[in-house]
Parts: sequence; C-alpha cells; structure tokens
Amino acid sequence: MTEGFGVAIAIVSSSLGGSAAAVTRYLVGAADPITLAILRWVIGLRSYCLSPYG
Amino acid sequence: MPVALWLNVRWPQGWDRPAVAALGVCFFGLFFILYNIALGFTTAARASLALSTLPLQTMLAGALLGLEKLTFRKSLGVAIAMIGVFAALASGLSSAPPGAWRGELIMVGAVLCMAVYNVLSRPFIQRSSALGFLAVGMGSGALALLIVGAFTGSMSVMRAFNSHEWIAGLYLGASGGALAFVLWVLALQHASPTRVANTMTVNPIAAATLAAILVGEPITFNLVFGLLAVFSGIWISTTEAKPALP
Repeated sequence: MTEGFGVAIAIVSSSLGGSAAAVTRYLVGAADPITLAILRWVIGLRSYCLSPYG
Repeated sequence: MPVALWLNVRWPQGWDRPAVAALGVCFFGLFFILYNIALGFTTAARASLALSTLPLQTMLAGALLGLEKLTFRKSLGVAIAMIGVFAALASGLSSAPPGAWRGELIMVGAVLCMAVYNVLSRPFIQRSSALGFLAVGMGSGALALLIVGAFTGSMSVMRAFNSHEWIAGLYLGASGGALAFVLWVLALQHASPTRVANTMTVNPIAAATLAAILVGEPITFNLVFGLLAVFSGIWISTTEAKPALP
C-alpha cells in the first residue's frame, strides 16, 4: 500500500516534470532562459511559502 | 523555508554552509538555466528523453567520484540506456528542429550537473538534515536567479506576457518546480529509490503528449525506441539479479 502510494506520487511528479518541459517549449519564444528559471523556481517557491502548506 | 524554521531543523554548519549554497546555485540555478537553453534548440520530447537518463548519470557520477561501485549490471544498464538514447536522437535528427543536437548536448550537460548535485548532497544531508539542506540550497538558488535576473533585465520580460503566456508561466511555477520536487522527495519516503527512479520514463511521455497539443511537436517511433531503452537501462541497473537456487 505504502510502496504503491509512493510510486503513484512519483508518477505524478514525473508527469508534472514532463508537462513543464512542454510548457517551457511553449514559452521559449516569449522569455529568455533566466526568466523561465525565475518563473519555475522563484515564483513557485514564493507561492508555496505563502500557502498554508509552506 | 518557513517549515524548516518552524520545525527548528538542523541547519548546515560552518564550511558546509557555503558548500550547500554552492550546490543549491548549481542545481536550482544553473541546471534550470541550462535546461531552458536546451529547450530553445530541441523539442520537449527529445530534451526529456535526455533528461530521463538522470538515474544512470547519477550512478556514473557516483562511480567517477569514487562514492559508488559500478557493478557489471549497473554498467550494462547505463550502456543500454545511453546507446538507446543516442541512437534514438541521432536517427530522428531529420524530423527534429535544425541544430537540435545542440540542445540535447546542453541537456546532457545539465543532467550531469544534477547528477553531481545528487551524489555530493548525501554527506551534507547526513551532517545537517534533509529539510535544512533543501531550504539553504533552494534559497541560495532562488537568490542567485533573482540577482542575475535583475542585471539581465529578465524580470521586465514578464511584463510583455499575454494572458496565455501568464497562465503557462504560473503553471510552470506552481507545478513544474517546487511541487514536482516535493512530490519526488515524498515518493522516496514511501517507495524504494529503484521504483521511484523507474518512473522517470513517464517524464518524456508527458512531455511528448502535451507538446503535441501545445506546440504541435510530432511523436516519432525513434522516441518510443529511446524511451524503451531508458526504461530497460534503469530497470537493469536498479534491480539485483536473483541468486541462483542451490
């Protein structure tokens, strides 16, 4: 049960990572690599720090 | 960071602090800049295929740094995956964007950067705590990106985004970064590293599927072949052969 739950979470994580590659490809014409990195980490981190989970 | 402060976790001490900060800049800053540069040259599916070799490159980096023994089985898995990915990417070059090989080469460099981060992290985590290590690393990486972004005018680029680009950007921040990373760490707490590593092959599948919808990238047979090679390589490397019955 726990093992299956862990694998399921890993699949969700890998899917999110893969979808992020497609979204990055979509944005690559509108933003430079540093802007995309800031969007992905700084804004992402900030939103979690402000969320009830952060 | 707030959770780490609230839980009063053990932080990296002394000279570990700048080392952990440097590792954070390497992964949370440099890796993602290289990743984004790579995606400027090649398709999402091809880049993700190169990225999915991470567990194998981590093994290779561990062996090169003398921290992990590379057994015959592990070497075989690494070889199968690498040859498969190389064959898949090379055979599909005609249908890839011009100069795609540059992006894939940069992505391999980025993955090596992440592999070294994975290998070198362990002693620092053992001397402090996983959460303290992550908080210092993520904070340093984010700070470095903001400083570089301020000098290069990257922050002002976002002002020109239209509504679709903002939605895509917010999705990237909300789920592609911290959430995916937190879920990965959570998965490692519940399942064996072997099984978790095997799910890396889902990454190119998701990338290819969404990229086909978002930017009309083709899903070709050579990518499916490469994916099978990566899955086989990870499976062989991360599973032990059953001992022969007496």
